[in-house]
Amino acid sequence: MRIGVLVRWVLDATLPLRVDEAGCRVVVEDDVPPCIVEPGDRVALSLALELRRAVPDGSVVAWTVGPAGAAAALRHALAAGADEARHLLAGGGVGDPASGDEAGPEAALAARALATRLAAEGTDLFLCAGRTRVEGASPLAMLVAAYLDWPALTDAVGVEVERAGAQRTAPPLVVERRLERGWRERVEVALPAVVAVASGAAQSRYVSRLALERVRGRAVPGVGLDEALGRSPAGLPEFPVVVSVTPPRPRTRRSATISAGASAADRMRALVGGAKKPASAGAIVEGPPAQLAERLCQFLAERGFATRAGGG
Amino acid sequence: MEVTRQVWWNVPAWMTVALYVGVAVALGIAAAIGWRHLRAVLKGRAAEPRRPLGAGETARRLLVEVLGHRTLLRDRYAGVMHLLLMYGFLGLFVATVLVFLHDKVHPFLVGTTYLVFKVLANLAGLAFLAGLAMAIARRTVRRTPRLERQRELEAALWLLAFITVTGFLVQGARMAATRHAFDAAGFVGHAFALAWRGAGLSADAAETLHQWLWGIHAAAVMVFFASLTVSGLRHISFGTANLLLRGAVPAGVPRSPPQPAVTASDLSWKQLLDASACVRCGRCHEACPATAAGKPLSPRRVVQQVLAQMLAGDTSEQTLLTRITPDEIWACTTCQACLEACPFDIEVADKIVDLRRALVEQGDAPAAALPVLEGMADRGSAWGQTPALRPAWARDLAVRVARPGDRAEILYWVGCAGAADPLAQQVSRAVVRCLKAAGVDFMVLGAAERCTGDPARRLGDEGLFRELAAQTIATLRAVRFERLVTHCAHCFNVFLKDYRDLGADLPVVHHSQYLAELLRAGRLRPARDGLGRVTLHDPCYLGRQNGEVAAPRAVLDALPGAERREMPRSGTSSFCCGAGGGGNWVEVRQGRRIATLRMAEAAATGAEVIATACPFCKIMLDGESGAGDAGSKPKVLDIAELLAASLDGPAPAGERAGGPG
Repeated sequence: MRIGVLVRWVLDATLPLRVDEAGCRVVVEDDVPPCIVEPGDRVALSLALELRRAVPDGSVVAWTVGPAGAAAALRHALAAGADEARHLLAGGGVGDPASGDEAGPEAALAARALATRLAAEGTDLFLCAGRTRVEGASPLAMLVAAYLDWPALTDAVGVEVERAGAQRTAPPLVVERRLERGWRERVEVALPAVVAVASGAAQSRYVSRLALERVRGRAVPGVGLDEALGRSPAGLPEFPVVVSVTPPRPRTRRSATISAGASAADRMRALVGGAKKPASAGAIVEGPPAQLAERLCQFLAERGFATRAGGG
Repeated sequence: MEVTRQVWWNVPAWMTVALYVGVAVALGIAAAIGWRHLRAVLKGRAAEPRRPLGAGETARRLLVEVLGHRTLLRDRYAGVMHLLLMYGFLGLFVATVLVFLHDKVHPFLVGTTYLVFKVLANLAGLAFLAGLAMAIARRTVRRTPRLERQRELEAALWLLAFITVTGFLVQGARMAATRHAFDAAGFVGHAFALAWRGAGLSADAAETLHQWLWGIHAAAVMVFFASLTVSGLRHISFGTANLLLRGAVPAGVPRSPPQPAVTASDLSWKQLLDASACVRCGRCHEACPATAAGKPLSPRRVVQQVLAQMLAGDTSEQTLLTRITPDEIWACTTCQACLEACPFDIEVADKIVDLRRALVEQGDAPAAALPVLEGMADRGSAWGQTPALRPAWARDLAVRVARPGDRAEILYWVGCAGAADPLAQQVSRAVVRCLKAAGVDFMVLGAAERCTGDPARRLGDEGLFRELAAQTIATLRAVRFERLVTHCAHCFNVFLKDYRDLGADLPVVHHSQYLAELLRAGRLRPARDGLGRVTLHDPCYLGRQNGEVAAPRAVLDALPGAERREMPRSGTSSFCCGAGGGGNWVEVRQGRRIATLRMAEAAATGAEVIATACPFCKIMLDGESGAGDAGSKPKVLDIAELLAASLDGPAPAGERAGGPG
């Protein structure tokens, strides 16, 4: 099984940052490397390496899209244990912001280039982070899946490969997804597929200095983004074109302002519920702290979240 | 009748030949087994770091550790037992050699010499027998908890007892048959002779008995000789060698291996010799804080697994990482309590660090270690603090920040904890207040300071340690100072030992040493009274690993009103707080917290304040002070905080908050 995994080289958003006077570049106000491998992608990489162990003849190919500096992410992946690395060279953005790179490739463009190359290389499974530290929810996995017409699963917290049965030609993937309110679902999907990984799907691997040193001289093939797109295999969906943008329809708000004389409970209700009384569930209780604590304990005990000492 | 020894009396020629052949074969077997073992040891890599093996140091170790039983005598029963065993055995061995020389070279055991010889040989035999009785008793009757059941060793003890008793019986039978007037000098054998004669044993019967007993005794001796390099008896050769060679390969400094340790031959010959010297006495097991806290680590088991891997060879399907679990590997605090307790100076932490390297290299560092290692790798701080934020702790203190080429009497090394952790920042501020009060010309590195690499090395990333160390050495070489003062015991240790092997011989002193010096010189005059009962927690990396236990006590003793109390485990035998070796961040959850045990021990002294001399200890113990009945738990403060709080003049707000009271 050939597993592709995206490793993005992104700005470390936890550093003290500012936008330069021209408003074009992000400047790191400290003497430290400004970029890191996207933490979510590191989880995906760990998951890919774990999957490789589970399947015979598995291989992991790390992918990145960005300027020359982004090759650091690929070296990280190789040091962590990836078998191969592919660099889709783009004009900037996900490279070193201190080097003056321009804005990075638009997500759809990057996704299309990735999709083209993934298909050309016979990738069975593509993994990447569903959420990134800088962007939040990332559309990249869904875009790649759309271009490839592959099934896509988001919020994956676990991925297993079921051993090929007598009737099966390809091992199906079993993906555990995290849903809202703590629900989980297990989904079986045939390969090829795209999986957007959630945090907690695997433990990020630490890459030691010696491991990085060992891959320092290893060549990482780079392909220009245009070249990658030019080799688009037949049958890929057309590049989406934005034809119009419509502003949101004005909606009447039930209460524009909160009455100054409203109680704390009503003010809170208005703030969190748009002034509309909730149809069910949720209640705001008022009273002295001891009484409120008692109500809270009672609530937790009733729903089985806590037990009361002394059987009370 | 000449007063002397007839060496081969009543021994037929064939038995003499059988004895020589048997002893030669037995020693051959022992040598073959020993050589096989030695070859396995020598398959290890070159040992690092190495020091010249000085004759003085070797002689000192021989006198103090081997002949003086310094470490063994910490357990009085075991120490006395081993003294009797060793000196009894040596006495009997020397007696046998003298008899051989008397027989083959020159008959000198005559007259008074022979009588004195006979008395001393009997005394040696009795001492040996007493030692054996004590050894057997503590394994069968007393059942010392730290001792594992070792059937081979128990069998060896019984065999030695049998040899000694039959030796006396042979002597008694000979005396019963020959009836010399001077026999009484061999008083133990003579007692047997008198008993036999009293029981009506004739001279002829005694002669026959003597021949039988001689044969049995000789056969038992051959079995003993053959087992000299097996199991517990191996310590006679390998243990002594290990003890004497420790000077050449000092403990406490992890080596820099070319590759992580997975098989036995990835370890150094010294590490394998360590494993060969182990007699499973369990002193390390008893001293280990992780074991005491119920963590899944026993230093003895680690050493035994290394030995098992070494004996299995590199072709074995098992590796060190399958024999020793990750939880064992990460539970160690590298406090070296095991090394301090071991009578053979067997180091365990070096093997643990090598195994950590193997885990880290294969990407299996524990999740808790990731932010620490990456903090050091990306930002040069184990706390992940960026360089620009590093000087923030001293923003209101007007501390001079060194620029390249600057000169000062003291360069104050703040360390990652002192710069980033709020509890440790209080220590940094207190040190600055003391230095200023004493009028010391000092500077700090500010944003130019980076982690020394100590946590990186002990968490298993040797490459990162080397990178950080090179960076730090370059930074230190860019400024000029007479002494480097640090309040962190880990920074102190790494500067003193680890950096020395990188070619940087730094004039480093711990803040406890420097503050004690300032107090002695009268440059600091603590005046405020009211400290009360205080107990000192000795940091492992200061006390045990660098022998400094006096300076922090000198600082405490200088504080007005301080009533110092000692914990049962203090000084070089201090009990770890749990922070060493990355334990501050990576803690195996099984069992209790090590700091909880230490806090309980400190609280039991009745102290109101626990003084420390390392920010890691302060953080670990302070984390315990809020748990449980907060009212009865003592405060945890660094000696610098206590000293700063007792100085004349108003203390800055930050220091008051951390001060006693």
